[in-house]
Amino acid sequence: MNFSWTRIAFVGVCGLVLAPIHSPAFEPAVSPLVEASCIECHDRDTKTALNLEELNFDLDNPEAFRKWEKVFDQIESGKMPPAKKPRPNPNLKRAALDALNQQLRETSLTYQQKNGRIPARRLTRTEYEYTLHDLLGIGGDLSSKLPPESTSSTFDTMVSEQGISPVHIRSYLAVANLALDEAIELGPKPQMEPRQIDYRNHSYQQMWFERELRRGGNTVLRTDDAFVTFDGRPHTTQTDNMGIRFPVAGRYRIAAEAYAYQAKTPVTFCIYRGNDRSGNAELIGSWQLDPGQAKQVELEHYFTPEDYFYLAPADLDQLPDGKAIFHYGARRYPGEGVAVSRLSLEGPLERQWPPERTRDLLGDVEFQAGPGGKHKVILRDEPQAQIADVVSRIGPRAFRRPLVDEEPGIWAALAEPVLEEGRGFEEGLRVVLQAMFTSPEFLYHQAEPGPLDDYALATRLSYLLWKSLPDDQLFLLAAEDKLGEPAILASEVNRMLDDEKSLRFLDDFLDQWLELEDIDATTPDEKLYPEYDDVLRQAMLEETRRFFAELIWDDRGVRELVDSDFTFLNRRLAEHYGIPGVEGLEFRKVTLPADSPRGGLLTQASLLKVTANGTNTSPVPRGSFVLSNLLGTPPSPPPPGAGAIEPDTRGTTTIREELAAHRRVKSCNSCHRTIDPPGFAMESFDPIGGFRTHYRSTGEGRQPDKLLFGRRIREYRLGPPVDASGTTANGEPFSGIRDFKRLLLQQEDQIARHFLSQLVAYATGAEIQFADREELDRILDDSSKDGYGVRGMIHAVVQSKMFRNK
Amino acid sequence: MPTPQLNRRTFLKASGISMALPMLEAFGKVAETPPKRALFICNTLGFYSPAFYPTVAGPNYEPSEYLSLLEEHRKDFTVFSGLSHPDQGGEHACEMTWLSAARNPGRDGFHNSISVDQFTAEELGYVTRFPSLSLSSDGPMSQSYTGNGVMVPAMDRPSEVFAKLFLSGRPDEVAREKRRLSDGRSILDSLGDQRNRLLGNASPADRGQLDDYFEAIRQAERDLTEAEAWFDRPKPKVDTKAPEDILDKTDLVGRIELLFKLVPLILQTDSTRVISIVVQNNHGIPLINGVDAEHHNLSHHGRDPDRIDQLKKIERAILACFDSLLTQLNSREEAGATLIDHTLTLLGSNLGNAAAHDPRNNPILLSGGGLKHGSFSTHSPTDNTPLSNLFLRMLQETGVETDQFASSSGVIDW
Repeated sequence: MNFSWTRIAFVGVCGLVLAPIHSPAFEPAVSPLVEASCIECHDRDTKTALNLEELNFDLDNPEAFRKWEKVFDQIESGKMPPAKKPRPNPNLKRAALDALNQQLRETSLTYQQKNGRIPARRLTRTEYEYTLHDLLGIGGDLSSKLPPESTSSTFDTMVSEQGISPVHIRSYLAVANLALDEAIELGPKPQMEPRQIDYRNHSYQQMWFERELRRGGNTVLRTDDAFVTFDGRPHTTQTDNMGIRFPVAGRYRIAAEAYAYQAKTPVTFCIYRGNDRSGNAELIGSWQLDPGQAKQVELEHYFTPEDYFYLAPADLDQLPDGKAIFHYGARRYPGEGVAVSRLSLEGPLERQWPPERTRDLLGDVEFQAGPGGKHKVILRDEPQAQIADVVSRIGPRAFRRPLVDEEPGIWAALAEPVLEEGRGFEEGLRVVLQAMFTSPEFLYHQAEPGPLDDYALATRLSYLLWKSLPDDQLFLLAAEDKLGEPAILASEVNRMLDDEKSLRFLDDFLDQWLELEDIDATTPDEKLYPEYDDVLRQAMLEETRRFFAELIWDDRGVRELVDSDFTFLNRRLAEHYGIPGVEGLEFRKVTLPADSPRGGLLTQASLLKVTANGTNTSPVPRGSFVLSNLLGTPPSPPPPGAGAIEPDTRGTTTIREELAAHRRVKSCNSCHRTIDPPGFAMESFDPIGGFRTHYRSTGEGRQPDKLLFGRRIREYRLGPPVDASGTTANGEPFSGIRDFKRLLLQQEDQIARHFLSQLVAYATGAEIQFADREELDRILDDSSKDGYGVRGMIHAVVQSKMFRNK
Repeated sequence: MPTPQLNRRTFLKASGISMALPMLEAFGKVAETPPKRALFICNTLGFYSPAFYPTVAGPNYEPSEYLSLLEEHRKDFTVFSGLSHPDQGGEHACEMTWLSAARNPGRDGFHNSISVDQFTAEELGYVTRFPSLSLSSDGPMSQSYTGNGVMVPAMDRPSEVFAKLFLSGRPDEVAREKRRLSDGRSILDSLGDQRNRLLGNASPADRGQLDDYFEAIRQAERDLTEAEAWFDRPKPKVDTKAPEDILDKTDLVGRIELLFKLVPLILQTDSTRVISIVVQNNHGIPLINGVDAEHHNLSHHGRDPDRIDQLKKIERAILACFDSLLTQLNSREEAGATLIDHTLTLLGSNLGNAAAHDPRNNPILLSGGGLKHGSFSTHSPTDNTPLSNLFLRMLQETGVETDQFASSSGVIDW
């Protein structure tokens, strides 16, 4: 290097004639360290992303700020200069860090005081749906009709990644319209009483009973008392094919009596909801049927006219010869099935008609059944005035604040042209509400910089724990200016966590933090993982949700994220895990056997599945997951041109052998020595979270000796043995997952720090900023005294300045 | 900014298509040359490269296993190797940047940028009923992104596309739809009018977000106004029956074929001039003889010869669909030439080697558009040429006046 770094930087700053001339206080303190220890690698010829010759000192420039922040962190953590270089002079280092710390903090604080931590955040599409559900008392799918949220940050609540576009606006209009279709129900009163769905005698079923096997029939059976199904293909039992539809949107009750048919072991009876438009199906009910006794089952679910349901069996043993229903036909098949002896549909479950939600929305009106049963709305006042009345009731909830006097009139005025065209009260009201549900006051959490007022606080809290608008009590506390009192705020958090709406938070947070929303991104290969099905899939997700809920309810420490002596299981998942003594499909807390590899998040099937693809596992994404999602220390991306690992499932080479070759390359090893070890420990688990000692193989290998579906396994063989041992980047060896979890627990503080940071980011819509660090440290310090209890951390976040200020 | 070419008009003479010609003031003159269109097709799981690329560069290449499927159209396309977008990665995250070339997809702080199809659509504007169409074989994920990085959802139901383009519906439905449009427009109009009041209530700190919001309102209102204007012009009539959707998502080939069959209809009626199609299969085992595993799982073939063989069966089936698309485009006469001569069709993938999630060396094939074709054009496998250089060429060919797109370093020639 021929030039003095400081001189170049100086020229660079002065070169910007129009830029305000800063005399950055930290420059003189930082430059000596940079000159002595950094510039050798980070000059203009650098191969790294940091060129200190071109980095100026203007911290008001967000890009420069980010880089200096990173420089600070790298030096402070001792990662830079790298271990092989001489240690920096401690005095130079201290002086540089102090100056950087102070300047970064001041800049960040000044920004926060002026602008708040975050600009207005937009409702996510999940929140948009929940909000309209709660506001209008409806339940149909809305979110999938809005543009998908950006996936480039961990959480969709992050303002920096939330965009808005004409596509959004047009979708809001359309979705608000759909929501209002559901809310304003003036059609004829439908039949609501329970009606039998007689599969045995339905004409649609006769076709399947009678049709030959080779033409797709004869896979269902009529016995003296029941309808029997042996396979899960929907079309034979799909209600829409039988001409049975849900007349209007609403909650319905399905009740059935079923028993295990020709069964020696328990089987599972499933009901799925399907949808015409999306083509997707969702498992909405599953019950274990034990041999020899009939069972009464019941479920309630929200259905729309586009929905249908169908019946399916699961957990069926196959015949020892491996032949299936398709080899025999239902009439001769001697194997297990699900018999349904009675099934009824009841609903919509409404106490009156038009339904309550319509009455609540329209307010002071009467209904008159007209020709064809359609209801006419009889007004008591001028339509304009009645619309203003609806606005004054809906408005404060929709906008999450009281309306000012003229507001109802302003919104109601939007109905004028519609009323003038003679299109009537409902049409006018619809236009007004559509406009309100597309307006910025509905879509954005706005606030003034500084402490949030009680209404804004209620909004932030409610969208954190309920993903929806504040309820009456929160609203009342805000109106009385009491919500901000710490004791009241804390008791509200407790009340809200006890409410079942907090499950929305649980699902949404886990879906994104642990990437559970990607559970279906890949489907396990049917040959390698034939035991995977929807019942198991649902159980996987349920385990993680219940486990995390337990950490909240019981205020358990974050160390249980890494290891715990309990988990939540039902029979299906317990079988998958090889844990005996769990019967039935209901979930319960189970104390794990002392020698179990399970416990904590890393050994839960849901997480093991989302970190694998459908065919194989690789220590790289799993290791990267642990570093990024649990520890908050994501690895750098591979340098351009780095070779990628191409796994081999022929049963000849293992992923570890391939990775070993990769790690012999020096530039690869510098990161992979950190990335791979957690993944090595997780090699004991296959892509669907089963424990394994050998890889499953489609080629070479020996016959497995366990049974599957009550018969020998033909689909796969057992290939090379799994080696789950390794050495951490710090040089500590581990023999497998249990050992590794012990080592990982040494980083409890870091795990707590990352977990807290994630909570703050999710709750407020912005990552931890430099000026937040002090408070974060303080919370962690307090929290460590309680063993980093999860519930305590949620409370601490809500009470924090980060949460209570814009 | 180039002026949209409003003076062009397509004469539709081909068999099977007649068009009720709306009286459009903007279309005063009948043009002699039809407009050039761009069609982007991405198969997100790549093409197994040993079966894709020929071994010899230039016009005298021996067709590879895959290219032999397209041999009939050999003179109508060029094959490229060594193209990709710089700084991609993140397993499948490069799917979302294939048309935008934004860097580092999937990394923290990533923002997508405008995709080449939306860029074209913005330049051309509402010269057609739809500025662009985004289609998909499965689900709403598209590769079309607006200028501020928001995805434009794809349509995956051919019957809906068909209805949107060619069917008028019952009179009461039409009236309702029209009311919906005009209500929507007046709602947006009034929200725009309330701008000052709403901004007045807002904190200056939120101003940036709200400015974006009102810009979106303004553009959406413009979209609805245009849509309303088109609403009064009769939709073009095609004497093809509306397609019946294939709901079975495992019928990958059937679903792709249905989408591809729409393409000539869309182009000949000049309903849009930019189309992007994502071929993806997220659900189940494709119904193809000899295939018993999922497409994604097979793309991670683990070098197992049987799995590679199955993967090739799927990819051959997709290429057979593409072959029949080229045949259709080739058989439709348009202004003394055929549709293919006026349509630049790009077929390719964001993954060069899907088994390793390698986003470099994308398999790329460009057909039609009246360009000189018939050869295999190679670029460095270790130091790839930006794929945007080819996008830039397509932009210029479709009449967009620009000398830069995303990471382009020049315009590609061959």
